[in-house]
Amino acid sequence: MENQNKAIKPQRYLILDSNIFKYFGNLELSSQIIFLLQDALAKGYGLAISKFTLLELLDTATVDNEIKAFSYIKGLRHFRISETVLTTAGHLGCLYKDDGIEDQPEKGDKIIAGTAWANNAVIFTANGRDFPTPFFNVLSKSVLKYTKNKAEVHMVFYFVEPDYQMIQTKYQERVDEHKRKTVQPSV
Amino acid sequence: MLCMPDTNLPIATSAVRTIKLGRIETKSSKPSETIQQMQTALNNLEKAVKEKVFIDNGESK
Repeated sequence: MENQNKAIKPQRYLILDSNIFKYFGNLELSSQIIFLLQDALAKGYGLAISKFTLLELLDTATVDNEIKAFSYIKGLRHFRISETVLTTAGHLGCLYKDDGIEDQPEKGDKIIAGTAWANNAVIFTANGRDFPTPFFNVLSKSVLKYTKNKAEVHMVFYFVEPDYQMIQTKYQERVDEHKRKTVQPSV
Repeated sequence: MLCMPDTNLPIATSAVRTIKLGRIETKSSKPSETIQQMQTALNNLEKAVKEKVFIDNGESK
């Protein structure tokens, strides 16, 4: 029975957004984040990162921390940044613009969004605005508390997934609109 | 004592599906790792946190 349990595979991956690692530096928040990840694991999610997150981890790390961090995160699934991921990230930017989202997420967030799309994964993030509606749905959110200047601060952490139907519909509308504009009227 | 947050994440369902966006069509792969391997990965992540490997963003100050 124990061997059978060892062989159980995750049903779906959970991508840790790069900002999660920043909050791992906060001892109060980190224990709560680990608790949420433990819960996700128990519910059949595997833990993953986009390889883009490696850049963000390196960006501020000392050499010592770089060596340690890479050693500790190597057990997570690392999703590669494929052409599919980058193309999807670009398409999402177009859709956000068409939808009037003025405060566009950064390119790194779009790459992580594209990674989730390509791998049917859920994203765990501390910033829900990086994965805006109606293109992403919030599966769950949790309020985490920590102390700052002796005051209790609340932060919301989100589990979001791409809305495949909405994204495909909006993308098709964009293509159809392009066709309407480019087809010459018959005389 | 620190209160742990409420969790209402739904149980994960099967991962394999074909999705298409424009000319891009992809089939998501079935996870290859086991839950036990993922548990080890999470334990390692917890060790890294305790060793303060990740940079504090200042929010705790």
